[in-house]
Amino acid sequence: MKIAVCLKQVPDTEANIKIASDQKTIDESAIKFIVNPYDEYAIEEALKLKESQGAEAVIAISLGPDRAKDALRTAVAMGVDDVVLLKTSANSNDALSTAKILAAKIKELGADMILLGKEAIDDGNMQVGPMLSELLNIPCITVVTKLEVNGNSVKAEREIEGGVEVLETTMPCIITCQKGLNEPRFPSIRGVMMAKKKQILEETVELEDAKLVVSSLTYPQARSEGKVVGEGAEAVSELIRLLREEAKVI
Amino acid sequence: MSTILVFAEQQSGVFKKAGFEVVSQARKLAEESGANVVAVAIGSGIEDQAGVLGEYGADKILLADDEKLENYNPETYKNVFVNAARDTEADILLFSATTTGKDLAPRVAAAMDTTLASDCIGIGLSDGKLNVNRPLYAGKVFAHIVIEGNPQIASLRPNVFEAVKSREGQNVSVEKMELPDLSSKINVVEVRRSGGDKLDVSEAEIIVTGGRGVRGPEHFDIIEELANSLGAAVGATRAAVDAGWRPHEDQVGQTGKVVSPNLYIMCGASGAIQHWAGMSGSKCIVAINKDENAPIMKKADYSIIGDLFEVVPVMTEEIKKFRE
Amino acid sequence: MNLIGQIVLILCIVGAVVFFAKEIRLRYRLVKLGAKGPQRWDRPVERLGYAVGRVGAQICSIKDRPLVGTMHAFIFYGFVFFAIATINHVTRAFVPEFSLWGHGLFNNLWFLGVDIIAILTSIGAIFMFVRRYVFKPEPITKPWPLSRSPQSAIVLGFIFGLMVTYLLNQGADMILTGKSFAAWMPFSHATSTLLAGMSIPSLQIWNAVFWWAHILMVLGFLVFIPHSKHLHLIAGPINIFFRTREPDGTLQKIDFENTEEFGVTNVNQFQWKNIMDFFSCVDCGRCQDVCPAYASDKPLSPKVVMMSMRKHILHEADHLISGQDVSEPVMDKWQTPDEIWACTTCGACMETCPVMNEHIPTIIELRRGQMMMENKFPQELEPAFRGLETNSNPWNLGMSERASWTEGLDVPIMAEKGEAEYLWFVGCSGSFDDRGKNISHAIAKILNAAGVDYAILGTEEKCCGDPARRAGNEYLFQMMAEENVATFKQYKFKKILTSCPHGYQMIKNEYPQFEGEFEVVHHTELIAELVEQGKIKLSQNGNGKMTFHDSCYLGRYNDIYEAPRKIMKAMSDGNLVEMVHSKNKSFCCGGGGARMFMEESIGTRINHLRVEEAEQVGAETIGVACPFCMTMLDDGVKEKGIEENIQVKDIAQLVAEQIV
Repeated sequence: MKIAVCLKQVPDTEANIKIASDQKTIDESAIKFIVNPYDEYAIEEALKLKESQGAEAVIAISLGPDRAKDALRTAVAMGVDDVVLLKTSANSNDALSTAKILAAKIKELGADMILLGKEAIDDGNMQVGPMLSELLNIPCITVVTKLEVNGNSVKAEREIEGGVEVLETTMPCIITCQKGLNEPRFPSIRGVMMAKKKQILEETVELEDAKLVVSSLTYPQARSEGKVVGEGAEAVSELIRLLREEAKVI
Repeated sequence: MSTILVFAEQQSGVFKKAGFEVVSQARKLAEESGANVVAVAIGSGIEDQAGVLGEYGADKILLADDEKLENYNPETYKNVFVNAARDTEADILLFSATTTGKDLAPRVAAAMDTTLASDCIGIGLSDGKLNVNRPLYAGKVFAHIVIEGNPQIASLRPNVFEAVKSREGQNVSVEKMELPDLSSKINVVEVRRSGGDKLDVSEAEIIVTGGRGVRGPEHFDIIEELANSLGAAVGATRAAVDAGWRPHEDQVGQTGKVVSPNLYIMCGASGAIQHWAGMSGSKCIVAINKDENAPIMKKADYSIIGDLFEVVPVMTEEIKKFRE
Repeated sequence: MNLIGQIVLILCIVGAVVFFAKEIRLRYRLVKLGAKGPQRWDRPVERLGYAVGRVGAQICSIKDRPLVGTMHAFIFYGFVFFAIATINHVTRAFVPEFSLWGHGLFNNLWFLGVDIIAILTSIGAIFMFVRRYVFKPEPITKPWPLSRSPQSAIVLGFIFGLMVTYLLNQGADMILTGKSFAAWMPFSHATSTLLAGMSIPSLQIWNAVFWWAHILMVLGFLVFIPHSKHLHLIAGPINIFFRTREPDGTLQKIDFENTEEFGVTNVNQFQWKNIMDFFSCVDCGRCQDVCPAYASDKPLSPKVVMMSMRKHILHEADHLISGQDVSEPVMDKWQTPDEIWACTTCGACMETCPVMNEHIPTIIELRRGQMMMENKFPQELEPAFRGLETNSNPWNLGMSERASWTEGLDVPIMAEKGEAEYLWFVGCSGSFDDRGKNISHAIAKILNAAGVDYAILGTEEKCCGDPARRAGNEYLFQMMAEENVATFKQYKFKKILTSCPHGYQMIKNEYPQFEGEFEVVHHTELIAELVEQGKIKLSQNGNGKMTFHDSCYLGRYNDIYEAPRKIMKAMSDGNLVEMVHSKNKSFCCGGGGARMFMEESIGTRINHLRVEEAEQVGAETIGVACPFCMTMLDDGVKEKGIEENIQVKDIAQLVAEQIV
């Protein structure tokens, strides 16, 4: 079994996002970048599969600018065997463009199990996984919270509104990972030190013209000042009155 | 005349409110551009109910009704919908950004060699092109996007747009589609829904959330009672979920669900930034907390400084009284 | 003595010395096997003077346990005198009239001394025996069976026996030689009256019996020493000579470029000084007595750490001496994770240890081995490590928010100001934690009111790294320390002001390892100075009965006890009380050693124990000088539901309340 993991380097969840002067991109200067948290579940699941099922290799692929090498090094520190950077000049805006490039690489590698996070926390698109399915013509199960692999057959639990779906399919297949699938291992210090020295394979790639054009970025509207209705249980009637008459939500 | 094709999602034979929202929004866009709204209903045994989509604004309903389509299957549903899109030569495809919508829409997009704008909170037409507004970085920034692809595809965030029965009582034609091959490499083995009637946070109009201040799983019953009195869903902060008091599916926040109900009531939760990222889109936010300096107290529209164990039961009583 | 006797004597002496030397040599070799460690040959004269003084005056045993210590002193002086007396004793077997101190007054005084000592030592031995076997105090009898050793009975028996045989021997001698020396040897003389009734031939036999019993007990004891905790006779003073001259608990860096193994996984990876510590441990249990983890029913006892490592290395001795590797690692058999992670690094153990063992570095070396080599550590530390790595604070809050606490306040930023007299290192708590921010507000108010020239680094500041280093993640720590030092060096300032004792300890005592030598001042020191200079005036402030909780890293580590008390006294109008454990004996709040970021799930809560001590003295306000202590004690008060009776406030907050 050859396992491919697609990971993306994204701004840290705590990062202060500032819109750049061109009003269309963000200012990356003061931002700390991390591995997309959902992709960490993918890396961990890949490593677990290798440990339990035996696999030829776990290869992590990332599409992104040069700084994405740091994210790939984290994957190495966690234990993946090989990493590839598909180098672009910036993050891709277009999921289809991304999926096409990744699909080409995955095909080249001949991976049978492809894992990635359900979404990237920067754009929140949730598209690349299902798109890869179309492009590679192999099944894809999204938002997976439990995965069982037995030889070639795959059983996955998928999170849906108010419940869980249990699906079965066969490899080769794509799984997008949701929180709760596993607990990503902490990259050992030894791993981190070895990852620092690792040579990372780079390939420069061209993205297609974006089909989604950002005309501008804006900050969310500030909410108006709230009011303290009162203290303790005595304030309840007033609160309810306000919710009925002023906010009209009940 | 251009066509707006809408995926009207159903579950267990009942159409979802999120589906109605998309149909209503398609209707609005159609009024501006003079387009045709066609709703696609896929499922099993839904023929009788499909008509309601007309009341929400569909001009025509394409029906794919088969046993094999009872549960959502990414491959079969995609094939059906792509057929409909090709047959109608639709210029705009709209979905709801539910779990199903988020799974289906990208597949349709890729099959048609284009991208989509997902989870939009604003949508409009300008020069025949869809202009959408969608959140980035967990809502810290919004992107105003013009969709250049063809067809133009977007998915709408549930509970943001209104579901409007603009054509009450209207009868609309329901056309049975020719079905493609319904075999699939994916097999749905089981669908487990928790607690039958339990309302999911992502679909609720009112949510009552409990946090660390609830102090334990056994005390969540007072939160549940308030929620019941309001017909609301019960949410949880990460603290409550990590402590094992509530299941992960109840978690609202950056690593849980992003919700935008009409009313969001927070009890015993401080309103940390990661939680805020999950519910800041709520129309009205109420906070009940002992600590007047908790971050949420400044951000909530209405707040009560007090012990939730005293305040919440009183609220439940008052609401029950007023509902009678 | 006849020739046969002399030959037997020589054989016994040689035999005893050989066995003794063999065991000593083994232990010496085991110590030498220890990884290269601290250089402790600096200032040899001062070190020698200190060791001689401390051991000679028996400060080591008398401090903290005056009665027991005095009894030990008796036994110690008994050893000293009898070691010399034995030379006399043995030589006389070959040279009958030999007398080490001649035959004059000095010799008489000497023998008087020996007589008195014999009695005192006997009293000491009896006291120790009764204490251990009748009263069975916890520090020396728990945990069982480690500390219920029959070793003590044997040794006390030897000691008592040595005294008795000496006196009886001298008494018999007096009768047989007719030289009574009653004035100079009253007790020996007394025994001679006991023996008066015996016939001369039986007395001669008994005399020989006493003589031989005495020398055999001496030789037997000599052989026994290396095998037991009584090795401390030799190892203790040597350990004291090689003591650390840095504040107790200060940790050393790892050279990541040139080592492949970090921390300790196998017992022979300990540094030579750690191994010396294992052999010096007396099993006295003073460390265990003062350990907050032990007091709150955690499995950790510093004494057990020392003793089990001693047992372990002796167990591995055969492998190690023959050049092989160890047969098994330290964890989890010889030390368990629950033990090593329970330590709060409070330093109470090191402060009280008579032989100056360094328990904290040993425990942290084990943490380093677990964390960095095995990737094993309490799971709750993971988010803290991530936070430190991504956002330079253990709560992983946005680093761009680090200066948000200054909103609405007039707090200068170094990047704008360029230089200032004080670079105020606010720290993570002071920047991000709600209670910590309140303390920062108070300090800013004071600094502004007193016109102090200062600036903060704002978003350029990173965590001092204490949680990483104490949790064994030395790799992460070194990165942070180097970054901070580089940032400091960009600016001009005279001193660094810290509002957290952990920051103080790191920047003052541990950053020099990374070429960061700075003068550091804690906020209580600065405030005390400002009060003295009249820049701030304090008066009685209505906070009720007050007590000061000494933070471990401020007090025990860095000897700052008086500055905070001066300030509190000026505000308390005579209502300042001390808790039962204060100053260098202060009881930890439970937050140090990265424990602030771990769950406390075993035993009782350390912070509750400390709050109870405050309740016991009727304190209404607990003054603190550390944001960790603030959190732990405030949480403790709230968890016990007594916030109506006790408030916890930082000294800066108490002072700021008085500034208009």
